[in-house]
Amino acid sequence: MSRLLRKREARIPDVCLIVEGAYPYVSGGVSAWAHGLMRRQPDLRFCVVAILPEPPPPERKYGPLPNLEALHHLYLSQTHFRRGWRRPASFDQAAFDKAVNAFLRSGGGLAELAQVERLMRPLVRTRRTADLLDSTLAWNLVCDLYAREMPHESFLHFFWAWRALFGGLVATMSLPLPPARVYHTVSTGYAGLLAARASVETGRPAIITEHGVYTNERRIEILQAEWIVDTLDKGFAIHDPRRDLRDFWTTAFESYARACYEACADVITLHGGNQSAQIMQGASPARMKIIPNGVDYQALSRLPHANPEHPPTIALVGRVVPIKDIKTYVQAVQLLRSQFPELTALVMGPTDEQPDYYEQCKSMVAQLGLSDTLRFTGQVDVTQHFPRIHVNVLTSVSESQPLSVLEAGAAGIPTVATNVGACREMLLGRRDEHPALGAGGIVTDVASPEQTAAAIGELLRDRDRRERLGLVMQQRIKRYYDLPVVDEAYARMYRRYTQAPSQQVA
Amino acid sequence: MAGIGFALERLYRSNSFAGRMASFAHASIVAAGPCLLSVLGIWLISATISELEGKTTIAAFRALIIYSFALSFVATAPIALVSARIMSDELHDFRISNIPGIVLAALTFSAVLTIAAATALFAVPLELEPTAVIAAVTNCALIGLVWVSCLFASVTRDYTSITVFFALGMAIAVIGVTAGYKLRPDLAIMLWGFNIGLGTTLFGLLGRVIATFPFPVTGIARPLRALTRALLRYWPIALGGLFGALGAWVDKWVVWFSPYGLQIQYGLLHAPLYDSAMFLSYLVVIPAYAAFIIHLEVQFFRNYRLFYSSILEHATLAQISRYAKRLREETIESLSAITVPQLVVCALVALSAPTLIDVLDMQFRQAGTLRMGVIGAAFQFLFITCSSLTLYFDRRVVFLLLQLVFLVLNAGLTFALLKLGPRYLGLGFLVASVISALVAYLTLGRTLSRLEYLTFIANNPAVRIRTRAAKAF
Repeated sequence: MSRLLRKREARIPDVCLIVEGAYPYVSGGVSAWAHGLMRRQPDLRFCVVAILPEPPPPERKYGPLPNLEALHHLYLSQTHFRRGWRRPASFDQAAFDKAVNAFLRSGGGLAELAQVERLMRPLVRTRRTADLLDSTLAWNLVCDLYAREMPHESFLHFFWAWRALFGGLVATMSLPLPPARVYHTVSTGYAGLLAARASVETGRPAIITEHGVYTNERRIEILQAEWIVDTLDKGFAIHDPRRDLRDFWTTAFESYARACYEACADVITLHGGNQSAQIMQGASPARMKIIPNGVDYQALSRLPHANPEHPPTIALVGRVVPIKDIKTYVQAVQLLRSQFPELTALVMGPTDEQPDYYEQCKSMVAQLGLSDTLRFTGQVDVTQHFPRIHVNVLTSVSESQPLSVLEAGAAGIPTVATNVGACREMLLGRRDEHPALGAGGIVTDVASPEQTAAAIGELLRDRDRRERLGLVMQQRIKRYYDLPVVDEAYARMYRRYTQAPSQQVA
Repeated sequence: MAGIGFALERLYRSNSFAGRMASFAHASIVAAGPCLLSVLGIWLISATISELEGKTTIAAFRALIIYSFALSFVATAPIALVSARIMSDELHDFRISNIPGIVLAALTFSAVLTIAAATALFAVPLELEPTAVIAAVTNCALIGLVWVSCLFASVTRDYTSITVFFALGMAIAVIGVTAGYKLRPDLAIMLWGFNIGLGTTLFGLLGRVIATFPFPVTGIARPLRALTRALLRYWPIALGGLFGALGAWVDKWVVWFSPYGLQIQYGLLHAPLYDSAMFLSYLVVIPAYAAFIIHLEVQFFRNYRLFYSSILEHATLAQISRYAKRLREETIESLSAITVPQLVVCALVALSAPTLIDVLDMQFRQAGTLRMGVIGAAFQFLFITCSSLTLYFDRRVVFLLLQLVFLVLNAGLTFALLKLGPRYLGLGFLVASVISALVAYLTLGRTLSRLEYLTFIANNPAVRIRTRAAKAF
């Protein structure tokens, strides 16, 4: 290898992190995770592809990192290139039409995507990909697809749905691919599609760490979307073969997910709860892994424990939003107060995200006469409050892997949590936990103030049990959820894949 | 899964389809009407006064009026078309309170331009007296302003007012000029007589526009800036308008400067053999323009709206295509239905040219020019209608290119065929009109045959805006 080539090779970033609609423009959640991951892998060089609907990018919420070498943008509304003089003769419209149909309509996977990529290559090379959206070629494509798919639907809606979906596909397929040794996507969707394309084109490994299940979330969003007009009344017919726009959108996202799962060498989730949905979308069980979110066990475990002689104190750490079901928590506090007149209940988290809901919660507290018992602290440093909290509570109706349970657990505080996301796994242990550590908290049903109140009551009354559960949580977190453990899992995986030889996808 | 997921809705927009073009493109066709009426006015004045003595003054007066018409038409065409376009946009977006500002800006621009151009022409190369220069400059500015106001009135489809005020203005002009001439056969007096008529038309039309849009204008700077921006943004329309105006006059200028041109009093040039035959030819095709405007109102707009509203009302592609087909077929049918009888009429006029020449006291040498002129004017009608119809579908560059084709052909062929002799004066115009009409007809046919594609992709403002926005970053 020549010196020049070696030099160029050495400049290639180790990891290309592909993030859709988040990092570095949104704070918290996946953005925080991505920022932390890069910060704690200082020996690796990263680049990020941030996927946004359209320019300009919003204000950055995260500053630069020494090992983040480049931030690329993929705008889904950008058709990329119309600079070439003429459309190459080698572009086969009929074959492309067929391949796109197979990929988008039939829920195709990686082989179908590779075929689309191969047929699109002449246009990418000659910088004529805009033809796929803005030429008579595009028009023929959309008309053919419409005639086959849903000739009974509003053409205006179909056209825009096609343009948004297909535009995103074209933008993703024509983005100049940043070179990297491994492509790491944090979701399926367009990010997953780009990772799949990267693995097809470069032969480098792709991996995915999915925090929720993207396709499910899109499906819910599409079903609830008021901007998709229902022009097809299927009534109660289950087997109506006619497809409408919602089916069109959903199938496309399923295709993207399937291609991504097939392309990724490792399909990682934060907890086992997501895996069945991923398998249904085409992920191979053999490639599945769990790498949870981590917390700083060393710092949190050094916090003093709450004095058992002090008035009983419980806390819910989370944003005051409906998904956290704060109202169930308020009702549970009301049930507890008769048994624990000195009870202090806190809600620690931002209150400004949904002001209406916050107002409803506040008036509920006032109506139930809990103003002296229950307090909304707003956003605070929870570690300052942990030393006086006896029981941590979570009443959410939906979660992925809530950090509050891990943070409280690391501080030796047991949790009463609803059976959502990874809560059961975190509190009672994963099936493969060996040796089993036992319970570190109590799991309740969703929206059951009685069960929540009973569980909290049990822990407040039984000091020994409370301390025992807190200890189990600490042990579990030290073993599985400690940041160095999580970071090492990623470091190991990155080492393996950055050094792996390139492979051509069949 | 906080952070992930962006609004799909932002990628999914179903607004901004053409439709807004309707009233604008209309103006460019309706504009042909007043031009023809003006020709009628000039002809009437010449006919009335020619009974009187002092033909040189009359010839100079007529030449000056023709100069004013040509100059103001060329100077204001870009402003008039672009301001009609932005007025159309404002109407479409229900921002009607901005319209008086646009009118004022367009009139200011037109007045400044025509006064500058007219002063440069009348005060410098021509040997006019200062009083006549002032009268001629005013005349040119008034014609420019009348032309622009006429376009605004046509955007609001106020045809009755246009016709009434034009007829009234022309009647007053004819009376004013003849009365002035009787008072003293002086060029300035005759021009002021004509100016009174033009002023009547101008204020009548403006009164109608103001009555339709009774909103105060808070400042002139903002509308002037908006119009300047629009001139840059819609440059193909502005340039197309300029080429169109030049194309309409260029054959006359070529002939004036040829050996067939005559220099009369004050250094004015004209070509009596060519000019009167051509103006008479234009009058012959007035019925075609009138019929076409009726077709636009009655049939074309119905089909045009049906097509666009079917899209917005969520029709299927099959239904949309049916409306497109109907729009296509009925437009072509109507064009044929108007052009073919008009061609027959023109052919009859061409055949009876000697009789007509005799009746109108023209020269028999003009028979050939009149014949070619009437047939050419019929094809020019087809060219103007077809090229203007492309504007209804926002084919700005196509419109520009078509106007350029006619301009180049009309100038080039008129010049090249001068050598054939006086009997063939007008052949250049005829050939240019025939070729341009065919090109415009085929272009319109192609536009109509790709209507769905043009509407959804090539001319869809939403698609274009997003592509532009994306390129900006």
